[in-house]
Amino acid sequence: MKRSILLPLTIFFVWIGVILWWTGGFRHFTSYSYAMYRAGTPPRNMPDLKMVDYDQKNIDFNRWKGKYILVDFMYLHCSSVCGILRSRLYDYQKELAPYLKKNLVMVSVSFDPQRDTTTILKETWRSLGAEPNWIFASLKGTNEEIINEMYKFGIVIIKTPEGDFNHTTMHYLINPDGKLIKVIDPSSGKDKTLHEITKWIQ
Amino acid sequence: MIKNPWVTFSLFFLLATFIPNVHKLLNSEMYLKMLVQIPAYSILSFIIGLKLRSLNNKVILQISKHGSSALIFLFGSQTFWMIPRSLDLSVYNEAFAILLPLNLIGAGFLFGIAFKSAPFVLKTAFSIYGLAMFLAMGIIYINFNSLICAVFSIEMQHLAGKYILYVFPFVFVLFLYRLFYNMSKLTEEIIIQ
Repeated sequence: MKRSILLPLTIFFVWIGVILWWTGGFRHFTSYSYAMYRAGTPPRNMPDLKMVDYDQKNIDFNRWKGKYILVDFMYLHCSSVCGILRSRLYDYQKELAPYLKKNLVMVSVSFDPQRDTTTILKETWRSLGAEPNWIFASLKGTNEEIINEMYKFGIVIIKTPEGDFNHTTMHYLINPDGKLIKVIDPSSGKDKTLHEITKWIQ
Repeated sequence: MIKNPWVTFSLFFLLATFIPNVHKLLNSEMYLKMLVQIPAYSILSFIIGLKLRSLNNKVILQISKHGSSALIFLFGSQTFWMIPRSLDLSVYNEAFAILLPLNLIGAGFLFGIAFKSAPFVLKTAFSIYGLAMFLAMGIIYINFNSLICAVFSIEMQHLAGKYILYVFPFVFVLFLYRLFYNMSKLTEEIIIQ
């Protein structure tokens, strides 16, 4: 009797163990959630991302040390969520205007440098009001390098057969010391998102 | 054994899923992956295992005694591949794209061989749990407006949920039929004894 239940019980607990490990303790079932879990909870260091801004200048986040940086990762050819998030950021820009003059910079970073050229980035920036403290930039590197680098940061980017990208859609708040202090989910609504941002930067 | 029509049919369709264009098609839509590819691996290999049970082979005879273990292994495998992250990796990661069919075909095959020795109560319990999970998946996919699987679109997710809910009643009726059939067989055996 004992022998007949030993093997099934062992297999059962092995599977429980595998799924427990695989999902980070039954908490991270999606690729997005797991990537953020692997990257670590804030506060954490920002990766050394090399970017080019809409003026074709090489930049990185150290450029704005001493200020809070609100970062979002997107691509301009997105046929789904990026446009909605961009129009939300445009709304935030008005609400965050006092902070943008003082201690806040917004940076929208494209992970599709092949299509989001500096010209297109600049046109987009102009169409959204040409706010001097809302920077549009694109990451440097091949698609594969960018995808790997973003994954280490906790962002999932998957290229679909149609050429689009499915990707994590969060806002990232970096403090004046250059540390990532908050990951904000924009799907929680405009007011809640704004509150999450302003409670840190006041 | 290949002459058995069920084995031939199952083997044919199982191998068909590996034809590059078919494989690409099955990976391109969420509902095809969830309702055709993944069940095909388990069910077709289960049928092959079921028919191979009758072979007079030492290894098969040994496996056939471990019904509970084979059932739990199959259930664990199915649960693992239902996790959205696992599903994503099976589409865009080459190693996982190989692991998925290996695991599910292996698990289905082993369970097919050992099916008769799995206790009725265990089979019923896992079936009920599996049905509940299947229904829950359909409801979640159709109602969630956030992307659960990163490799598919939100429209595909909603469509997969819709089709799961269409298929569920048939699977449920099939389960009920098998349940009452097996219960009546058990009752007959008890009466005869």
